[in-house]
Amino acid sequence: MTLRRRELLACSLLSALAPAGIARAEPPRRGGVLVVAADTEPRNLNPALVASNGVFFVASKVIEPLAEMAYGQGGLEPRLALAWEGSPDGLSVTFRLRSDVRFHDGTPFSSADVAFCALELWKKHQNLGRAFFKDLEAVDTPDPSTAILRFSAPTPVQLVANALPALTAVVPRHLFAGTDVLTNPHNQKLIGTGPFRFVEHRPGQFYRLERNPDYWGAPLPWLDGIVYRVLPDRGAIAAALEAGEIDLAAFSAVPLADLKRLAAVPGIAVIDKGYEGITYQLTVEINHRRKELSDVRVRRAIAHAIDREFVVRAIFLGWAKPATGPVPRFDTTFFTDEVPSYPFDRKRAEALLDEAGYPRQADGVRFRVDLLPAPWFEQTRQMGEYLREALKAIGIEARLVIKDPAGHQKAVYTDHAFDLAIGSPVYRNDPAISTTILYESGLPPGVPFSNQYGYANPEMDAVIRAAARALDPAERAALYRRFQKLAMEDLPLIPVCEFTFLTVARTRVRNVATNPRWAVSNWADCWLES
Amino acid sequence: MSPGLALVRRRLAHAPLVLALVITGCFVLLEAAPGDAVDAYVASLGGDAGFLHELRARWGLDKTPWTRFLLYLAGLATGDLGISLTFNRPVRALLLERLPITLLLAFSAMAVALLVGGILGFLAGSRPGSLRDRLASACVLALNATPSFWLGIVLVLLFAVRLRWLPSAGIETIGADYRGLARLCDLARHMVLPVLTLGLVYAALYARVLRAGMVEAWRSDFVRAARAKGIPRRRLLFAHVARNALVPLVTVVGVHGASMVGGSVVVESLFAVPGLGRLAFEAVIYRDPALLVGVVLVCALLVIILNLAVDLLYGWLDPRIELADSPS
Amino acid sequence: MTTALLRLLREPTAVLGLLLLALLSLLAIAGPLVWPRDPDAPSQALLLAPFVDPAHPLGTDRLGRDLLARLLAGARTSLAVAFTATTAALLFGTALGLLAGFAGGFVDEVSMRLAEAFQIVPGFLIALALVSVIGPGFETLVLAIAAASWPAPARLIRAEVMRLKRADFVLAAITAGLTRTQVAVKEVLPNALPPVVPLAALTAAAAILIEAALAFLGLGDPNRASWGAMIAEGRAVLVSAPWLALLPGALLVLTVLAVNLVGEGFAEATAARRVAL
Repeated sequence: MTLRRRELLACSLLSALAPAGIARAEPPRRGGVLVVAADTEPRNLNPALVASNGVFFVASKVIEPLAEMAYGQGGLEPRLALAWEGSPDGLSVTFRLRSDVRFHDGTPFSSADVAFCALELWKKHQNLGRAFFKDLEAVDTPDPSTAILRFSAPTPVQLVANALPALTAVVPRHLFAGTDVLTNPHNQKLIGTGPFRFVEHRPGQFYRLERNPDYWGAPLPWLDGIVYRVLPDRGAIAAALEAGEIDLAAFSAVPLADLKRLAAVPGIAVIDKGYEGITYQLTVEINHRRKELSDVRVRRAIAHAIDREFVVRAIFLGWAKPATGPVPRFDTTFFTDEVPSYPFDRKRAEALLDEAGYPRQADGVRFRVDLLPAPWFEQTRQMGEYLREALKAIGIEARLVIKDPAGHQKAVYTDHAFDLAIGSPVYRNDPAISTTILYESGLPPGVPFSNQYGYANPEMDAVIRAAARALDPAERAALYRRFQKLAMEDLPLIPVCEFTFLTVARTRVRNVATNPRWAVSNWADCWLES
Repeated sequence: MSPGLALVRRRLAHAPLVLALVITGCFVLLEAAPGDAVDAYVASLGGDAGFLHELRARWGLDKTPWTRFLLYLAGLATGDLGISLTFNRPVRALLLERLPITLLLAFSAMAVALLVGGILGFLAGSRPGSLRDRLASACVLALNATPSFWLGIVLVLLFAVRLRWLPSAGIETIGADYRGLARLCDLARHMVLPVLTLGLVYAALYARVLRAGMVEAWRSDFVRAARAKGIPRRRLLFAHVARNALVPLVTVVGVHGASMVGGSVVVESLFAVPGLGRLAFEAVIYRDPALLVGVVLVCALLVIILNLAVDLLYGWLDPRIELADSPS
Repeated sequence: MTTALLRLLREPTAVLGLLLLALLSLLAIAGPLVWPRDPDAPSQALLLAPFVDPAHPLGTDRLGRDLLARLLAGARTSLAVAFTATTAALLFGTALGLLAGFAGGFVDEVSMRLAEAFQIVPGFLIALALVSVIGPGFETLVLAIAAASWPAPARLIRAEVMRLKRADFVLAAITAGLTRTQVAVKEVLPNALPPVVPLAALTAAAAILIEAALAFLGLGDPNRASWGAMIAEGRAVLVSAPWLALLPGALLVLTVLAVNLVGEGFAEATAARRVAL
């Protein structure tokens, strides 16, 4: 049954993929405005200051990073930087920049812009950059097309390169220098180098971008413009798509349950590629301050109680994979599956709990926990409902506690007022960017999506520290394999499955999913059939 | 001084205390809520401790709740509604932006509700107990029991997805840049479904109130006596029964004005209408006190105006009602 | 009181409503005995259509949970929340109305301005704000719905008290030496209550709809099945598995209809009485 169903899914996927995903010989057509659904309107839209997918979704078309992810060897494709090279001591990285680029206001792009952004925006204010660029000391600009990032401690060039797509958006220096960068009006009225220019944002209604005729990548872009329609309701997005009012909904904005039917609608395709570079995981977060949960046998018992195949089939309708550890399979550089695994086995789970000294009481309950599913995804909430039942089956009674985003952030990451939580950390191309922080100890409370679980293991900390400084790629990879093994032995949190988003688009939209971060890349080569 | 004006004065005299309670309530609610605006913001992007600290300092969240409240009140005294943390814009600008569409939605829905509710209620109430009454009443009761979100979903599925007669969401065709009449038509097309969804729910309510009022009027001594005297039923229907039944109807319109003007969060979400209801909801979720107070103040102002109009209507509908002495 | 009940039973709408309500309450209370299946337990049979598998007569949802059991559990949630919230709103509203009406002066002024403050903000928004801030749960739902609905009974009771205060029998009671509290509870309250009953029906109907709407927005009690949440989930598959949203929707409409019928019937009965007088 399971197999047949998945085969079926695979078949329908392939047929759906054919028109949109695989490039046909037909030459691209210039023109047309692409209408896409957006479900959030970030207060600060400047990707140099705020590195998040919600911001990138709109801003990446206007403001570009130094490099973008690409399918295939190397994994990176030049954008504003043509090439980069690290020094042997790991203390500097030299970027060769494009020299034929102009910002949308006509001023030329140069190394001075990169230097300014690196020091004043990424390092000082950006949510991810603050930690990532903490060792960045100076940026030398010997000529307009060379920028040399200098670090105070050895920094692997591999890590820097992996961070380029998400952390290095460049905005013009002359508009930001000498101003209060956080309140600068150009955080909303974006000026960049990208294939599209920002035209207007009508709050609650839409964002409008138009073609940049002076794009350095001419004749790209093909589209005349992009319109983001703000549709806060997911059902409304599906309806608008089916009614032909929008061309594309990214980030699984359409409920998964409806996708199988939508994929069968003529003129609509479901595309499951284009998000590998921003793979999410569904995890069970554990508060180690709770006595029962600080026992690794209890954590392993919980892992054994989860039927990952069922989660993938019921909650993700097949569009996910069981996770083996904190690094997703897509990252072939670091991924290893030579780690302890916890197959679905209720007997084993109950045995572990008995062994840990938590037998079933007279009412059949071993102990009680509060379970806080993160409110941001439909799937985190459904996983909460599933986990409550899965735990009930092994004698742990869980009470679901749902909070709004602010309440959840406060309860889990500041007050540690939870026993179990369902989280959805994102893997951003390198374990050091947003993954090891889930395992590292000694972080102050209040930091979102970090180890606020009370887990502290000196060995784990040592591996994480060593990997962040290892200059040799092979050594880094080995250290991160060690990291994954430790993570699965100790099981401070339980990775359940890894998932990427889906795009639903009209089949007339071409060149969808052309890179692993497609939804948050610049869409210069995207075009519309007439 | 006319009794109507006296009432207006009394109502206005109440307003400051009511508004003070509302403002304090909004602040206390968001202060008591777990997490602040920074927590809500970083929940979508992450960031290190310094990032959070810097944001809190910038957004004034490092001050005590008392200081923030007093600062807000001081601003309010000078007519400054403050800055929305969520949108990073002045609250006044946000409100002015959303007010026209909210008023349009609310008043169109109210018109639809009065029209449909009026017809159904009148049909039922003009001859209580008749087949016509039974049918109309059944319709009304069924409609009254239907949740607005359910009605909205079905209307979208039918008219936008299946038949494609009307747009499924939004308030205008983006990028079409219609002018003049074309723009008005475009807007009207977009408003049909949300207005129907919001309006029909209230139509049922209005119809029930109107019918009940008419039934009561038929039974009143005055009408019974008049009928005994041989005054034709038709004349009574319009001159007395329907007119008397308008009093409770107008009251209900006033009472439910708040919900209608505040828009329906559900309807606004379903149809992506950028109205005040959704703005208030976002203010709560994102812990944005200035914005919440702003929306609620606008609602309150509109409700006060609406109620004043209702009070004055009473006098016109039924001169016997002593305005100045009506319960507050 | 008994005659009022008899009169109520003579109204066909009220009888129909009462029968429907009785049936729904029976389903809610006795449901688990007749169909003793865990409404939350997942199974391997996902999205099963109704009338296919006798193990799941009405089919299953996305997690393979039995729809019949969930509908029954939803009835329990809906009725329990509505009943508790309505009672809470009426108790609080009545107490405050009584207090305001009797105490007068400053107490009256403050309580009535408080009622106005609550009425000036859309009721659903109050409920929505409270639930999202406190976090969803049974108690929160009750509190939120009661907070949205108490001002109407408070103002109604206060108006009745103001009217009755000057009535002869109340004045007689005061002259007879009863304390203010005794007069309020023994003499005024019973006479002020009748108009509250139709209001109670209105409040209960609104409470059911608010609970459903909150659950539809994902703010229902996460540990209880709710029709609103089931509709929200079913909505995603409205075309391919319409029963998932249609069945809870139909039950919701039926329940509110039943409550409305009772309210309507009671209004008729009291109106008839007033004519008879």
